[in-house]
Amino acid sequence: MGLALLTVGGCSITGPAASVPPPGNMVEGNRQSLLQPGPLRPVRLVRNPVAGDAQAIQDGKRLFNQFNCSGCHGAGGGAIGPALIDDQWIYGNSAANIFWSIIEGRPAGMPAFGGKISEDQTWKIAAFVRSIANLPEEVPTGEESRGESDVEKGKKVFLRGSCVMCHTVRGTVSLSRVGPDLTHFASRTRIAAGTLPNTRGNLAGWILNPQNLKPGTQMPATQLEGQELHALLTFLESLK
Amino acid sequence: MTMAPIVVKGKVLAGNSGGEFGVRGWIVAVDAANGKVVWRAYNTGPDADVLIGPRFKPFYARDQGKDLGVSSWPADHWKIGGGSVWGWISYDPELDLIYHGTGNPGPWNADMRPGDNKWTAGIFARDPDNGEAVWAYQWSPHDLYDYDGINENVLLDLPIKGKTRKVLVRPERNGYVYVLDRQTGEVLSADKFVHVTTSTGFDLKNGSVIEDKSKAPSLGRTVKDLCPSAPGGKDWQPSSWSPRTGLLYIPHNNLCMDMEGVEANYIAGTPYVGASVRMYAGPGGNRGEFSAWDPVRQRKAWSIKEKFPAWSGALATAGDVVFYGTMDRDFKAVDARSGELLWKFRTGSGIIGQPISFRGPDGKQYIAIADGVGGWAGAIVAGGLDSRDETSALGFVGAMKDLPAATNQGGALYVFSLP
Repeated sequence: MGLALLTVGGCSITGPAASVPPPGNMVEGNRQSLLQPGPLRPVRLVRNPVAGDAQAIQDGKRLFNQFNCSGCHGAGGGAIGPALIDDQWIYGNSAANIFWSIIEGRPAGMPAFGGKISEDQTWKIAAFVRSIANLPEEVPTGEESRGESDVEKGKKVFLRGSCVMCHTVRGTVSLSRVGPDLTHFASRTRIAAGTLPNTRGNLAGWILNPQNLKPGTQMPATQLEGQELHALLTFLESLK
Repeated sequence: MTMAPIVVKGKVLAGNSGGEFGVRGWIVAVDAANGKVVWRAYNTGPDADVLIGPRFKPFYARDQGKDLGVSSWPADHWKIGGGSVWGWISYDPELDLIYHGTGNPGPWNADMRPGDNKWTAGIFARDPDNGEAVWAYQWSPHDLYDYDGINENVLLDLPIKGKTRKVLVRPERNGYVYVLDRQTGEVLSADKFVHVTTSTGFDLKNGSVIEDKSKAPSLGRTVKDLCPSAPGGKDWQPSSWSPRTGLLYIPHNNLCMDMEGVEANYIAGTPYVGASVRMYAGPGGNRGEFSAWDPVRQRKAWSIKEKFPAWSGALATAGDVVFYGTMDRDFKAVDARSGELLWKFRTGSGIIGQPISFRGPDGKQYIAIADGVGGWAGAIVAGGLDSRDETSALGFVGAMKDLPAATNQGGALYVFSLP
């Protein structure tokens, strides 16, 4: 079955911090498409460790000059590299998107700095770039979840993750037609194309490792742990 | 590689680029029949690499000595010192010499490289068969302003002080039109063709510009009112000579800049510059000019002011018509003797290309030009850069904020003929 090519814009990815592989691996921090050779590989999730840290922006400014980012990007207006202060973002403008652009490199001349500068330094540069682009500071995920219901927290996990790439939940920005429509998910008696009863446990297993339950499925594995998985399940159960 | 190669006696001559990336400049001769490298000459480092040997006779004392390509640099800095060959090469079949310029030293922040930085921002005369250096000269020793020395070398026989001399005419980045004796490298004259503040004049006895130390940028120190700006009185855009009028038609700039030295770190594959620059129009407010220069009388015969830098090449024809294009989409024909505008054509995008003339299969003369704004001057349009950062594109964006309103991107070939 044909899959549409999707581009990911602005997905802030949450989840347990994944280690950055050494250079030479196609990291897929920015999942561009579900079309892949071989079995589906899970999206690598990272968390912005300097979200909400104002000092990180100052450090990032120093690093931006020391690593010669200014040589190609000027003071943000661009040179032989593109402007960073405008609102054109080919590969997304979340801190994680920018993190992966620096680590992986991009076509037409952006070098891959993965393995050459530290992750911590990369996050700080990403924070600086967001600041000169006048984007709001990202908040640490724990804080913004405080005081919310599990349904609201779960909805955030859904919308910030890769679910939006394939599924529709009407009433939200998630409107993709690649995978099944989940708007009334909770009123379904079975999941995974009818192969399993729609229970909380089966749903967790399905999200974490769909190949285990239905080999050959197009649904990719999604790494989630504890609180976030629990909240996501509660949200999905609320979609009556 | 960004230059146009030239074929001399069965060998293709080409050079590298990357003066802003910490490269080591070189020129190479490749056998046109089989692609084998016949010789390669570096422009920094020991004499053996630069192909300086017993035949080398630089005219000025400052350029004489052993391994100056090492000793005029701190430690091993010559290995990433620049001196690339990204511009024009000329050949004199009678003297059997090629002439090529060398690019800027790196980084732009000159505090990091005390010394003359040989042989950057200069010119070599070499033997095309084996690359041996015959003479060399530096337009800008210890360059402070990115005055690459790679512009076109116009080989002419001119009457100088009652004698016919074999000369090389060079409208140079530093704002002077040089006339050199192309057999020896002696500077016969050097005259300003734009407003100049980065030097106070030319010392013919020692063959060098007279520096103004107060105009030297350094780490953390911004110096203002530096003219000409980094792209020079003229960048690589080539001039054209008419033997009928005795004039050199020079499309060029009228720009000044403020410059500050900043920290530069060498990371292979990334820019190695160390300067923060802001450019703006020179006196008069026009950022460009098209001048007809008389190299014998050492002055302009006439000139046309242009709103934007005149970044296209020039073409002079035997019908006494001179062609050039502007960055705001005009392809112009002017009278070679008076500069009077004869015709102009509005193209789809600004012009930074070089017009050519050819005879078609039907025997008629055709003039061709490709449009499509870009280059350093047009980076704001070609790269979609953001003018809120006036230092972007190494300072050019601040001087060209109105260019996007005057042209967008393009790329079309236009061919004209008379009816």
